[in-house]
Amino acid sequence: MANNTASARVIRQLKNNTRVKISLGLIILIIGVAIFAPIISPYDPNEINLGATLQPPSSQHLLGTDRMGRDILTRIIYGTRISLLVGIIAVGISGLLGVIFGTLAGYYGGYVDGIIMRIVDVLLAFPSILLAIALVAVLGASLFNIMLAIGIVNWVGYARVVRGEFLSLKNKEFVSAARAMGANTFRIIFKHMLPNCIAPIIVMATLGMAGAIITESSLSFLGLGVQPPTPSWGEMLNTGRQIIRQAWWVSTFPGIAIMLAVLSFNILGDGLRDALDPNMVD
Amino acid sequence: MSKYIIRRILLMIPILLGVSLIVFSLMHLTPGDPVQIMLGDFAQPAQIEVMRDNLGLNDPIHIQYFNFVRNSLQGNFGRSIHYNEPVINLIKARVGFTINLSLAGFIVSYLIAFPAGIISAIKRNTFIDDFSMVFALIGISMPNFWLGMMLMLVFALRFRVLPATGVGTWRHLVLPAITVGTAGAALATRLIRSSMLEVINKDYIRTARAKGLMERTVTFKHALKNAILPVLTIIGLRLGFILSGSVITEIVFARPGLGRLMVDSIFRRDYLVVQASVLLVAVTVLIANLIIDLVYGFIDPQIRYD
Repeated sequence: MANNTASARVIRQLKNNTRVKISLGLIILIIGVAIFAPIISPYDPNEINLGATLQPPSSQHLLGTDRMGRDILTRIIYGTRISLLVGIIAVGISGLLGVIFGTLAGYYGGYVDGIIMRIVDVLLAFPSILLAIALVAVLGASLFNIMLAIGIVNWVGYARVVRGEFLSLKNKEFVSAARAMGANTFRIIFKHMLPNCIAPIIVMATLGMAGAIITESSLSFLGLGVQPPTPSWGEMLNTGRQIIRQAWWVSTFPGIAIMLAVLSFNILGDGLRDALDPNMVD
Repeated sequence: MSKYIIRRILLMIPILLGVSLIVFSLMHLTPGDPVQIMLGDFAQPAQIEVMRDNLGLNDPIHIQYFNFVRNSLQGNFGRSIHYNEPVINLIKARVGFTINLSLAGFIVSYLIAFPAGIISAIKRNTFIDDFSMVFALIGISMPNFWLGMMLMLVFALRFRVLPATGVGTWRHLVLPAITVGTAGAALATRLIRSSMLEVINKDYIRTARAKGLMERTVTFKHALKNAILPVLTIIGLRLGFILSGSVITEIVFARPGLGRLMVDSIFRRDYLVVQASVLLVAVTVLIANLIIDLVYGFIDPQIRYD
C-alpha cells in the first residue's frame, strides 16, 4: 500500500516536470535514431567520396563532409549506436560490480566492509578518466575494452550508495522480522533489502549514462577508443581537431550531438532524483 | 589537533600502498609480454632478455613490487625507451605547464561559481537563478575538449584575438583555462547554490536579520561562512577532475604538458612514462585531499572528534 502511493507520487512528479518530459522525449528520439540508422541516414557512413572532400554544409550534405568525403550527418547518426552501446554496457558493468560489492560490505560489515571500503578509497584517488585511459592503454584500444574500462572505474559510486542503504536497513524491524520468520540471507538481501536501493541506483545509472558517453568520446578523441573507420562522435572530433583550421563543421556538429545526448541523460537523472528522493522535495 | 593530523596521515599509508599496487599491476595487465611490446616486433631475443633484466622483470613478483615502491619513493621511475632519459626528468620538464593550466582552470571555475552560486541562491526561482542553472547543466554536459575546440574556432581562428595553440605568454593560457574551468564551474555553482539554500533558512539567519543586520552582512558573514564547508570538501575531489581535464585540454591546445607526454607515451608503448604519470597524479590528488581535510579539521572542530 505504502509502496503504491509512493510510486504514484513519483509518477505524478515526473509527469508534471516539463524538463523530464522533454529529456525523456529526446532520449527516445536518440534511441530511435540508433535503431533506424540505416533507414534515416542519407548516405553510407563509410562511403568514401574523394570528389566531395571537406564540403561545407549544403543541401546535399546538411552537415558537410569530412576529409574523405564521408557525410557527417550520416556518421553522427551511426555514432549514436556506439555512444548508447558503450553507455549501456559500461553502466551495466559498474552497476553490477557496485551492487555486489556494496551488498557484501553493507550486509556483512566487519572486515569484509573494511577491505571493500579501502579498495573504494584507493580507486577514488584516481581521476576516473585517467584510470580509464591507463586501463585502455595497457589492454589495447577497442570497443570492448573501453566499455570494460569505463565500467570498472565507475562502480565505486554504486557500491557506496548500496552499502550506505544496507547499513541503515540492517537493523530495521522488517529485516529482523524476516530473519525471525526464517528467511535465509539470500532472500533477505534480494527480497527485502535490495529493492530499497533501486531508486538511487536508477538515478545513478541515468547520470552514469551521461558520464559514460562523455568518457567514451574523450577516449575516442585521444585515439584510445573506438578505432576508425567505425563512426564514433569522439573519433570524429579527433579528426576534426586536425583540420580545424580548414573545416569548422567537422569538429562542431559531433560535439553538439554529444552535448544533446549527455544533456538529456543529465536532465532526466536530475528529474528522477527530485522525484524519487522525498528528502529533496521542497 | 596534532592527534587528528597524525591519524589522518597514518590513514593515508594503506591507501598510498593500494594506489601503488594498482599502478604496478597496470603494467602486468598487458596482454602479452610488455617488453616485447615496448621494443617492437623486430627486437632480438637477447635484447629482450637484457631489457627484462634491467626492468627487474625476472624477479619474483613481490620483489618487483617492493622494488617499485622503493624506487618510486626515491623518485626513480626508470628510463623512457623513446627518449632514453630518466622518466623523472621528462616529467619535471613538463609538469609545470600542467600545474599552470590546472591552477588557472581552478581559479576560473571558482571566479564563476562563487558569484553565480550565491546570487542564484539569494534570487531563487528568478530569471538569474534559471539562467545560471541552465548554464551549469550545459557546462556539465559538454565534453571539455570540444568546448576548447569551439573557443579556438571563435576566438583564435575567426576573430584572432587569442593564440590558438602553444605556450609562452598569459594569452596562451586564457582559452585553455576557460576550457578546464567551465565544467568545474558548473558543478561548483550547483553545489554552492544548494549549500547556500540549506543555510539560508536556518534560525540563526532569521535571528541575524531580526537583529537588523544589513542584508550584505547576513549573506556574507552568516550564511556564506557556514555554506562554505561542504564546498571545501568537494574542492579536493574536484582537483582530480581538474587535473584530468587539463590533461585532455593540453591535447586540444597542443600544450607540451604531462597530458601530452602521457598520451604520446601510450602510443609509443613507453609504459614506464605512463606508469609514473598516473602514479604522480593519483598521489597529488591524495595529498591535496589530505591538506583539505586538515584545513577542514582546523576550521570546523567537530570534524576532529569523529
